[in-house]
Amino acid sequence: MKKLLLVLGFFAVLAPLPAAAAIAVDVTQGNLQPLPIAIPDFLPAGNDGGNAARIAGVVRADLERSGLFRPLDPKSFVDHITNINTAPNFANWRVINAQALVTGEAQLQPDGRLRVAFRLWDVFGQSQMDGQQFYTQPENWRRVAHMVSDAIYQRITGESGYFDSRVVFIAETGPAANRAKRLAVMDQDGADPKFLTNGSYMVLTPRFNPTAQMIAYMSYIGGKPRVYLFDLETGKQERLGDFPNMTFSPRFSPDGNRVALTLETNGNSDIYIMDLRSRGAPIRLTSDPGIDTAPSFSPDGRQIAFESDRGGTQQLYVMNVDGTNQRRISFGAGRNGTPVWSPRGDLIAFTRQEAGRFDIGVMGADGSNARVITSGTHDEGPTWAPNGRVLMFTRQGRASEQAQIWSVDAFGHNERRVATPGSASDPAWSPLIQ
Amino acid sequence: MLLHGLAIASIFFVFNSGFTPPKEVQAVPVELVTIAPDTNVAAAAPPPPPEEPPVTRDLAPMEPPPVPEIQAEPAPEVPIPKIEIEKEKPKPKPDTRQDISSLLDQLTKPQKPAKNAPVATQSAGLATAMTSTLQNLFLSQIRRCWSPIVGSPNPADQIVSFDLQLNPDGTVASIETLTVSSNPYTAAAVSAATRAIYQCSPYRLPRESYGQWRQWRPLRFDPRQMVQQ
Repeated sequence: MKKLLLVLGFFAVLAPLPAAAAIAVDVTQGNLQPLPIAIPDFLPAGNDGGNAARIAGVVRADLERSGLFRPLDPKSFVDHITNINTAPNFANWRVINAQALVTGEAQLQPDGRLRVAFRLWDVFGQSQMDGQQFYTQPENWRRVAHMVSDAIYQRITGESGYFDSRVVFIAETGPAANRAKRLAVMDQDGADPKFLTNGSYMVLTPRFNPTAQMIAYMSYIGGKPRVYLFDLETGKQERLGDFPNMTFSPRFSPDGNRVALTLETNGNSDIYIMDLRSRGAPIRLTSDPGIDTAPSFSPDGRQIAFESDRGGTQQLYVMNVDGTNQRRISFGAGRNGTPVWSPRGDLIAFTRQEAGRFDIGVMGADGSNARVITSGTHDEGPTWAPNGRVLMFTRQGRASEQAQIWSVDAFGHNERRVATPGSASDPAWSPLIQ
Repeated sequence: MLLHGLAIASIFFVFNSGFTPPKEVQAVPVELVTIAPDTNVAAAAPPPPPEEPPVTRDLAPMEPPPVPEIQAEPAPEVPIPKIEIEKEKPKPKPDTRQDISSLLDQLTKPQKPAKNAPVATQSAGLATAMTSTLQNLFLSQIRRCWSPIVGSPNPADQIVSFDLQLNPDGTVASIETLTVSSNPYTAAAVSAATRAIYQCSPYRLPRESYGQWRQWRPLRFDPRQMVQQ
């Protein structure tokens, strides 16, 4: 009996392992790298007005600048696209390790409009991920290129793009002691800069409204700082409110119907809100003896972040849009100011001053998980891209150095200088152009 | 007549002496605007539509051209890093960064059951050990290819699962997406994971135990731990 058991046991050990079931596995770690993407020059379909190649160039530059893509050098391509309406030879693009491929064409239509079409391909999955076409006046070729970039960015990342947007900023010229500051606007990539004011009076803190058609800013026209509105379509400027004292630090509500701003009275600065529809008197939201300023709406318009020194040092606070429930959200060493609520609502960007340094930081909307994300010695004045993933800010080294505009992503990666015509500061990012 | 002549001469003299042509200055794109004396701020209503929209956009995607069926690649097209064969076999570690060779070695070497363990337990233990080793072997390869876009507002939207079937040579036989969602972040996560699965193919797994690893289900990609990287 003992022998029989031993034999049975021997055969049991030698028996095959249990029938194979599917293996479950969790992949929780990866290799974060910019996506290699091939973007050959778009094909000129007939007369393209010279737009085909330069559109692809703008798309490559947009995606590269995002830090999430690595456009491959066209010189490395071993295949040439000849027709965007047939499937590419994917093997030829896998050879150069392209994970995505963009094919496109541009053609002037008989009515004079420019047609731009593109297809986004998954090289390894051998499938089309997106395909769109645009019609526009030829002079809008750069906007179309940005729209193509936005479509690719959205399909690959899942979040909306930010390339078809503009930035209003302060262009500075002249010596530091007598520097002219002009209101200027440019595309988000620094292209096509335009001056909006002539420099005869100082302008500061420009802010776009939600339609990107109006800018609120502070100006010293007549020697008194006040908030003005600039209509980009008509070029008309108007003073916002007729107040005896100075007004500054304006910010539009997400629906564009209200403006929060700071109004100084008898040496005390408080935050007010004005309804642009009723044109009624501004409503006071704070009444603390400290300096309350730099209001910024939450994306749902229900709350306002602001800075105040009511606690002894400049810190960040949040209140309901009617002024109730004011509470401090920044703590710890240093001073914190210029809060800007992310368009996604999850983060608040700010400027931290500590030990002689000025840094850009982000924190949760409740003040949690505050962290510095820039590496300069004097970085201030953050502004969010429309998708809430990237910020611009002003960077200045020593006082004698030119102010520059830089960008960084919300995680502190991909710091880059934004090309501007000369010294530039105080950027404000527009929503996506509609 | 004399007075008329003097008047004309004086006008001619004045115009010639007082007017000099303006100096050439470099034009700058400045738009001069005026400031209204009174406040008359209109509501920020949407601007009137321009006469001709600058861009019209066909939102409907273009019809995709026919795409050839995906065929298993007979030869590896993705370069696999050179693997150093260690002289001494390292002990199994929980560290999943084991090199592929050592993992393959574990799978091909006969397994010895524990001396005093019951027969059924010995068999189950062997299966568990093999599954764990196969998992590590698979993970050590797929990790190099997976590069998701992290940082979505809700990281759980980027968790996606698949049913992956492999051929005996390690190439992809089929991929079925188990995560169905219209969320754009989820769609992007599915695409990123699918790219990784294909890019890492063919997988280096022990052919003799193909029956064990022919199907991976659920193959789950969860990038939440990578957000802070």
